Amino acid sequence: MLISLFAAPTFGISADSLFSRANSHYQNKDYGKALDDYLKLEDNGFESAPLYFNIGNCYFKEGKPGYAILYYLRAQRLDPFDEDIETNLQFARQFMPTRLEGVQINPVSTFMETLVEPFSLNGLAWIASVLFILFLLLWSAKIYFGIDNTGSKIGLYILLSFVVVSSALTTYKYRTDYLIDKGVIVADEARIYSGPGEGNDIEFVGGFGLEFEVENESGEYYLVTFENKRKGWINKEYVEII
Amino acid sequence: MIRKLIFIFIFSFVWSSSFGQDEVSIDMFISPDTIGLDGQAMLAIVVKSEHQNLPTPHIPNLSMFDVTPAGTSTNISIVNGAVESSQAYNYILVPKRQGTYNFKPASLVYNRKRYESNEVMLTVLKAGQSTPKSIEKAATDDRTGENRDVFLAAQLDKERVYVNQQVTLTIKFHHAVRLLSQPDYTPPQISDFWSETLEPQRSYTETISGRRYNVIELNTALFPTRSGKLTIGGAMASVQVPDQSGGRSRDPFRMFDSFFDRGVTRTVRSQPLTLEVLPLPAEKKPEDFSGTVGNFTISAVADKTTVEVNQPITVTYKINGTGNIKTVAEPNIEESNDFRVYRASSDEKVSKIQGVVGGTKIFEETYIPKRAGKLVIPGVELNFFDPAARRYKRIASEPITITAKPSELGAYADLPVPNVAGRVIDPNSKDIRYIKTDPGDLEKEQPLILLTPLYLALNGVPLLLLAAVWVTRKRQEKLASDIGYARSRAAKKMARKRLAKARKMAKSAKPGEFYAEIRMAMFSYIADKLNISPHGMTGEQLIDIVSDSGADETTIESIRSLLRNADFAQYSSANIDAAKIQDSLDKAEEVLVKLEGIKFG
Repeated sequence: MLISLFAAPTFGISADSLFSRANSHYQNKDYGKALDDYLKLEDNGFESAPLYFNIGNCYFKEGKPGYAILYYLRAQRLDPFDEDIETNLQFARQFMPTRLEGVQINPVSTFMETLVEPFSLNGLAWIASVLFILFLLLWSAKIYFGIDNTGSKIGLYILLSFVVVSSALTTYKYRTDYLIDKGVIVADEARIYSGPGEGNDIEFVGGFGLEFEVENESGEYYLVTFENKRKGWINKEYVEII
Repeated sequence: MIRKLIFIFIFSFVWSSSFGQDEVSIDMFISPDTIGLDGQAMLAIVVKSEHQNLPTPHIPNLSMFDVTPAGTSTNISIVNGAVESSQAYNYILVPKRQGTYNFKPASLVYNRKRYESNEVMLTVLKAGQSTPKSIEKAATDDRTGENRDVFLAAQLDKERVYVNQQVTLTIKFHHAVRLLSQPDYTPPQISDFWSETLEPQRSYTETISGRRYNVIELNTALFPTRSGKLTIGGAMASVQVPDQSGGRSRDPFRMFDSFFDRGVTRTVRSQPLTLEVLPLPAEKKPEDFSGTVGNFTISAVADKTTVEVNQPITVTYKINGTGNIKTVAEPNIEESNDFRVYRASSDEKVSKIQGVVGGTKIFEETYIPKRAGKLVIPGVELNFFDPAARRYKRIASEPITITAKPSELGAYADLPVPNVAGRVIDPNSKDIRYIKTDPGDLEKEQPLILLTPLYLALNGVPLLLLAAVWVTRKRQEKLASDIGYARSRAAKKMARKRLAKARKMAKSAKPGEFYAEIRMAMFSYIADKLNISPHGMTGEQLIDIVSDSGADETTIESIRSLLRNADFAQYSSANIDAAKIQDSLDKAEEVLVKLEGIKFG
C-alpha cells in the first residue's frame, strides 16, 4: 500500500530526487525536514548505507543520539568499511551515559566477523553455491571418467575445503545477521528487569547506545543479553532492532 | 463637443491601458536567402510597438552589398482594444561578391533601452545561379522536364566533418500550388547520428527556374557517432493539392469546382545524402580523452571561501561552448589529503543560436576540508577536440583558495547532544562528519536467496547428478568384475531376444527351429540366472531347478508342455499348425514373466 502511494502521480518525485531534496534541507540546517524526506524513502522500502548514514546525522543534529547510533549501525551493516560511518558512530558513542563493564572480546567471533564483514549474505550464499556445484561436477566427472590419480584427489579435497569454509561462513553470517536479532537502546534511559514486567526487580538501568542480542520475547518485553553477558527484560518501547 | 470629449477619453483610456507595457519588437527578414551574383535580395526590418514615431532602426553592416532603400510601409491595428503599429523599412541588396553572409542584428534605442532583432543569413552564388543545383534538380520532373508543383529537397551544410562535429541538415518543402491539407512529414533515417532539432521552422518564398515557390524549411543539427561514409536517408512528405488533371474547360461554372475540390495526394521524397565522417586524429590524442568535440570554456566558482573544518563548500563547475554539450563528460575529481569530495548534482542547458548547437553543462561538487589552514581546491581539466582548429585542446579551471578555520567555540558548545560530565571527548573530532550527497545503491531491500526454491534447486540438481553417476559407475564395475551378476542381469534381456527371434520364426513355417529357440530361451534364462552352462542341461533338470526355486505348478506344467512340444517338433515329421505355434509362443512369454519373479540360486 505504502509502495503504491509513493509511486502515485501525486508524489511525482523519484527516490534519487527525494534524497537530493533532503540533502538540500540538511545543507540549509533544516534537519527536521531533511529527516522527514529521508524517512519517507525508508518507509517505502528503500535502503542504502548513505541513506541510513544521513538519517543518523539528522537524528544527531535533532538531539536524539540514540536513534543516531541505531542508524549508523544499520548503515554499517550495509557498508562495514565506510570510514565516515565508523567515525560518526564512535563520535556519537562518546555521549553515551552508560558504559558496560566486563565486556569480553571473543577472539573467534571477532575473527569470523572480520571474514564475513566484506560480504552480504546473498553474496556469500552465491559463492558457497558456486563452489559446491563446481565440487559436485568435478566429483561426478572424476567418477564417470574413472580418473583416479593423486592430483585429482588433491584438487577435489582442496575444493571441498573451500566449500566447507564458504558454507560455514554463510551459515555464520545467516545466524548472526538474520537469526539473531540485534538491537540498541534508543531512549535516554531504560530499565532492565529480572522478568517481563515492571513488577520485577530492576537489574540495572541502561542509557542510549547500549547494544544487545534478543534471546526471547514476551508481550511488550524482550529478553536481551548485553555485551558484558548481563541479561534482563527490557520494554520494546525503549529499543529498536538494528 | 461632448461626443468629441467622449471619443478622446475612450481613445486615451485605450491608449493608457497599454501604457507601462514594454512592447517594442524588432524583426529582420531576408528574401530570398539564396541569390546569384547577378541577383538581388530584399531586406526588411519590421518594428512593432504600441508607440508611434519611433526612431529609424540602425541597420547592420552591409558593406558587401550595394544598398538601395526601397521605402517604408506602416500598418496600424487595434486588437482587443490595444493599438499596435508596425513599420517596415525595406532595402534592396545587390551583392558585390560571392559568399555566405551573416547579418548582425538591427537595433533601435527607445526610452534609453536598446532593442535588437534576430540575425539573418544570405548566400550569394555565382551569376546565373540563384538556387543550389541540387534544389534545381529536385524541382525538375525528369520525365517531362517541367518544374514540379511540390517537391522536397535536402542539403547538408558540410560535405566532410569529424566524428561528433555538427553538420546541419536542411529539408525544404517547396510548393508552387495551393495546399489543401497540412503536409504529413516523415523525417529521414539518421541511425548513425545524434540529432537536435533547430527551431523555429522558417517560411519564405523562392524563385526557381522562373517559378515562384512557397518554402517551409526545417533544420536539424546532426552529430555523427562513427567515422566512414554515412548515409542520411530521404525525407518524405504527403500533401493534398488541387487536381489539375481535368485541364482547362469552357464551362463557365467550372470556377466554382475549386470550392469543392478534394484534390489529389502527392507524396514527395528528398534524395538521400552522403557525408564523409573523418575519425579524430590519433596523433597527439590525450590519454584521458573522453570524446568531447567542439570548443569550450570551463569555470569554477565556490559558494564560500571561508569555512570551518568539516563544513561543506559547494563548487559549481560550468562547461560552456559550442558542440554536442550532452556528450561532455563530467570532469574527474579525486579526493585529496585536504578535502573529502562528494558529487552533488549535474545539469545541462542546450542552446541553439543561429543554427549552432551548444550550451552549458553544470556540475556541483561538495568539498569538505579535513584540516584547518589555507587549502587549495585544484583546477579541473577538460580536454576536447576543436574541429575548426583541427587539434586537441586542454583547458583547466582556476584553482580556488579557501580558508578552513578550526572551531573557535568551547569544544562542543554547538552540539545538540549534552556532554557527559567528566568524560573527555576526542579533541580531533569536534562534530559528526557531513552527510553523504551520493545516495549509493538506493533500492528496495533484496530478499534472501538462501531459502528460495531456485537456490535449493540449483544446489540439488548437481547432487542428484552425482548420485546418478555414482550408481551408474558402481553398476558398470560390478558388471565388469562379477560374471555371474552380469549374466543374471542380462538373462531377461537375452531371453526376450530369443523369444523375439522365435516370433519371427513362427511366421516362417519352420516349427523345428521355432521350438528350438523357445527351448534355448528357457534353458539359457535358467543357466544365466545360475551362472551355469545351458549345454548338457536336460528338461528334467530344468524342471527340478524351477521347482526347487519355488515356482508354482502352473508354471512348471507350462514348461513341461513347452518342452514336450519342442521335442515333438524336433523329432516328429508331422506338421504343427500355426495356432499351436502361437499358443506355444504365448505360453513361453507367460513362463518368462513368471520366472522373472522367482529368485534363483
